[in-house]
Amino acid sequence: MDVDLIFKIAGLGILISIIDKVLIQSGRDEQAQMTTLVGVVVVLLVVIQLISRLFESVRTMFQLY
Amino acid sequence: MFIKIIGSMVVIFSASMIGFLIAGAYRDRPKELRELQSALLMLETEIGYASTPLSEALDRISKRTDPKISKFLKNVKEHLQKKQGYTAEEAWEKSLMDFYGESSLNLEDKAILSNLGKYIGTSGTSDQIKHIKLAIAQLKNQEKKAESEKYKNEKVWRYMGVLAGILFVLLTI
Amino acid sequence: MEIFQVVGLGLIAAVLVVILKEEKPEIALQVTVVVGVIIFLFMLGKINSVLTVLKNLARKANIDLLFLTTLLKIVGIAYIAEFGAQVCRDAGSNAIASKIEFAGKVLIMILAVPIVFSILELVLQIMP
Repeated sequence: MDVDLIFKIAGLGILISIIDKVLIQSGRDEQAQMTTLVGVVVVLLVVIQLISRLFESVRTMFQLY
Repeated sequence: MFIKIIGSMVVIFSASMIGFLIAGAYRDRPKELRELQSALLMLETEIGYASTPLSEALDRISKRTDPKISKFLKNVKEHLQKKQGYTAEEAWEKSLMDFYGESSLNLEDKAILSNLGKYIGTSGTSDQIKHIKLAIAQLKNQEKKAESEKYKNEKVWRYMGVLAGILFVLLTI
Repeated sequence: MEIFQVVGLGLIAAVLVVILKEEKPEIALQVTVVVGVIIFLFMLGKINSVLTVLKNLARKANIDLLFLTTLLKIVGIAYIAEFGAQVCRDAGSNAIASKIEFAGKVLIMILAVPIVFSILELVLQIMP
């Protein structure tokens, strides 16, 4: 049970929202948008790996081919 | 685990320091430009009203300005007084090189100062004063720009260093 | 006891999701997904032992193993479809969620066809 993955993703989310706020406050809205996008993509990469692991184990367990 | 924690702390610390350094450059530039303006103003009065020789004027001014600029002016004076055949322009240019490395000025500010160096101690009094006035006006303009850049960038860099460090640790841990 | 671990994990994750929902709902959603997946992977080992028991029973009762595997496949499809539909519903796209459920139902029906056929044949044999 890798709980640290949850903390990692939540930490990334909080960090990205802080970066977003700082960038917007100094008037760089486009860069803030880009950070959000990059953050979501990075998190998605992690999550997709986990989901593929889930699919793999369900496939072997219930003999779905 | 222990090594991991120490490593993360080192990464976060160094990233924050880089951020603070860059933010520091943005913070110091307007201040330095302001100091330079006041130093040039003093130089103008020295040349215009007291007609003191250049090296003596520089010596007097360097006692009243902030340390970095004072060092710069003292350097010019020393180059002049060593009697190695430097003209005022060469002395000015040589010390400006050192000063530029230490200060947070950018290339434009340096160009203004080295432009001024061409006329200092060479032409007539009124001509020198005209050029000093021009340099002060240009520096004022640069200061205004630096001020807006400071407002835009200083906070961002201060935050960004720390946050980038934490982000790196989170991604690689 | 594992249940304490799961409940604790769920509570912590819920707090994190509430924090994130204000600023970045897209990442809050991903935290939800990760929690679901982790809990399921955690439970998978337990499910495995249940499955072995079921297989043993089927062998003792002389039931055709084909039926059991079909049943397992149906359970797997139901679980995956449910998971996807829940996530989509959480993200607020109900339309996609109902489409996923529809696809799951169709696939389950297709899998069930052989069983239905064998029942029909049985009925026909019994009826004179």
